[in-house]
Amino acid sequence: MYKNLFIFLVTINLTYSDHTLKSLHILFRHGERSPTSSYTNDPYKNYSWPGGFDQLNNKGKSEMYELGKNIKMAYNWFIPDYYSANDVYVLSSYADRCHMSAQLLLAGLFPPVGDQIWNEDLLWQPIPVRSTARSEDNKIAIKKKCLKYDAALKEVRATDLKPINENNKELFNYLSKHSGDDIQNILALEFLYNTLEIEYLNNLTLPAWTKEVFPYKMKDLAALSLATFTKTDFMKRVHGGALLKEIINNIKDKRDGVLKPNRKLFLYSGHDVTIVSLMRVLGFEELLKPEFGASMFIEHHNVGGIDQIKVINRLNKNKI
Amino acid sequence: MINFFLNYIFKVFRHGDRVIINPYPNDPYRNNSYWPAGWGQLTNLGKLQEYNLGKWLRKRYDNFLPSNYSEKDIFIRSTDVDRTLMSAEANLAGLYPPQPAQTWDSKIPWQPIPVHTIPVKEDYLVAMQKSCPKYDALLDNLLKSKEFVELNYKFRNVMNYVSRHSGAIIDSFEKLEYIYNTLFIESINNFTLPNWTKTVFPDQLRPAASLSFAIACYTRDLARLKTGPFFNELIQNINNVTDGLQKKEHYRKMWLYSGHDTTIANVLQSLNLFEYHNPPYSSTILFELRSKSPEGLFVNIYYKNSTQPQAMTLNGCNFDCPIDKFINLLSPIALTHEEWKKECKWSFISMIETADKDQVLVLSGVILISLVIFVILMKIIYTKYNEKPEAVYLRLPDDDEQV
Repeated sequence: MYKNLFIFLVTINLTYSDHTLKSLHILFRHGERSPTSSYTNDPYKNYSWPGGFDQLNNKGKSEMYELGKNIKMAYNWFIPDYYSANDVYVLSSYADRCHMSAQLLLAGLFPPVGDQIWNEDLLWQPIPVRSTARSEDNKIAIKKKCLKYDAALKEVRATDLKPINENNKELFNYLSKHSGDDIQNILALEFLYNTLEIEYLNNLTLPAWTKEVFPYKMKDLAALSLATFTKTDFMKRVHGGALLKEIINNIKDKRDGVLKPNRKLFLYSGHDVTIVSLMRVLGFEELLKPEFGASMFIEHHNVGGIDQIKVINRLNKNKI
Repeated sequence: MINFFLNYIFKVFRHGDRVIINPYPNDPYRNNSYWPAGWGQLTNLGKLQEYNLGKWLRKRYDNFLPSNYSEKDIFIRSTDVDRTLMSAEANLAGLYPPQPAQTWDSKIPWQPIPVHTIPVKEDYLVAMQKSCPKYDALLDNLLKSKEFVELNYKFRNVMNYVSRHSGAIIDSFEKLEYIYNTLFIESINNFTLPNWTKTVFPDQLRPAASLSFAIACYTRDLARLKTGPFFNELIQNINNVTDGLQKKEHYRKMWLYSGHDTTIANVLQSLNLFEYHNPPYSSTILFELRSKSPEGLFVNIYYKNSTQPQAMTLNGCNFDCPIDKFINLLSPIALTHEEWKKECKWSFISMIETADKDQVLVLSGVILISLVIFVILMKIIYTKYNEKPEAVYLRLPDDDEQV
């Protein structure tokens, strides 16, 4: 699944020279997790999810590890074999599953080699993953309090989404009737979608009523729900602006030769909404519902003295 | 004694073996080729020390802490520094080798476990580095006190000698500690130290370095502002555990804090348990909550700075310290974050309270003179203003503006 895409990545890189890449920022969504909650008529209400609700599962863990290995393969000539804090910076959302996903991706990227092997029986090495308190996070989960933003979001939900909610009355009623939950807006729909998606990924047979709506009818609206957070320019500034600014500053400093330490690889471990917001802040308007382990790459090249930025996304694996 | 039911563990530990933070100017080993891991970074030995500490914890608490990792059982917090973040991860690799249900890759006997942190400048809990103006003022007073002036005088020859040879300005105990620490790490890495160090290292420098660790929490007020939030968290957790036990609900069993030698020294010093020394790599303080019966909860404190943990007894309590008594003893130095923020605020009044008489006199003088100058200035401006009133509202013509 991943392989094809990475071959694609490598081929486009060949149109640039192998050595034009100056810095690489990668933002990724955490790996597959157990659902946050179940719905009222959920046949799998009492299903015992390993580790409980909202935790990264073993499949998610090995997918993140594989993603790390694949990134290393695709950027083999750029990412050094030796881990060094002077090359790599890693920032994670506060959430456990993001911390763990970052550690796994790093385990795939930087298995210890040579004199970095500290334990012959364990070919893994600890690599620092930074984060901040949830209430202070304005870059990844973006939970830092901003009253003006909260008001804007409320306004968008009350006005812009009104026709959408009205046009989909029939769908909402259908979902409410069968799920047993009160689904009256796209946010509630998005949560239901997430639960169904995870059950589907875990080979649990979904009830017959879902056939008509899952995934496609629901997926588009769930994607719209994610885009709501960055509806206006002001909202984009708050929800994604800080991360974009950090990336731009890193790239500028790299270009000017003043980046300290002079790092080349920047990893951000976040959520589906982090990816959607950053894409939208960059001006991409297409509605997206990133899968688990989805990632986007921001490559900074210098081709013949001219600095260029390339954005590559790997949001959908077309699995569903 | 082993039969006592263990209810809760609160553990703070220092990172493992690391590279020197920053060589001194005349350091023969200042070239970074001597230090492949990089300045201040955890070495392979350090990773192994922490991994073994994790294994030791697993052995000690195996009957108490489930062998499958769950975020409902344990919370891990680290300072936002590479070596402490990595130490915490290595420690957890030893504490939670994946059991069959949590094995995600049969070739790698490791599983990811979140290590939470916040930026050093915001960290009032473990790094204890968030700015606190009142603390800074109090510390300044301490260092200018008669006791410390005399101590500095006692060490002046060593400071001068080390300054001359190292090429760095060494004028405080903290800086002597930095030199001691650098020489110590170079010596355990089997580097031959320059000849000048022979007369001072380790015997003359060690006491100065040890003393430096006591300074941050030297007085009760300093201790309160430095470690208040830490002890508040400990008390809060103990209360949560008693609650959980009473209601027979699930509660978190273990809290790990990954910090520095200063973290260890500050906590011990605040508890009046610090015997002057340099807390070694992986040194650990354990607060264990145990019970003889459901009502009889008590706290045990251990300090592990070698292979075996030492039992520590608080002044005014037995080694088995009943929790009510323990909380009472700690309350005077415990502060919630809100209380801490409030107390840290620097104000003129608090400064007068803490400053000595000379400082108050000088400061009052400065303020008085500033006031006089301000009044004179205002007078001059006012006079000038009145001299040419016609010039004041003169506007330059602006082409773009419609009149």
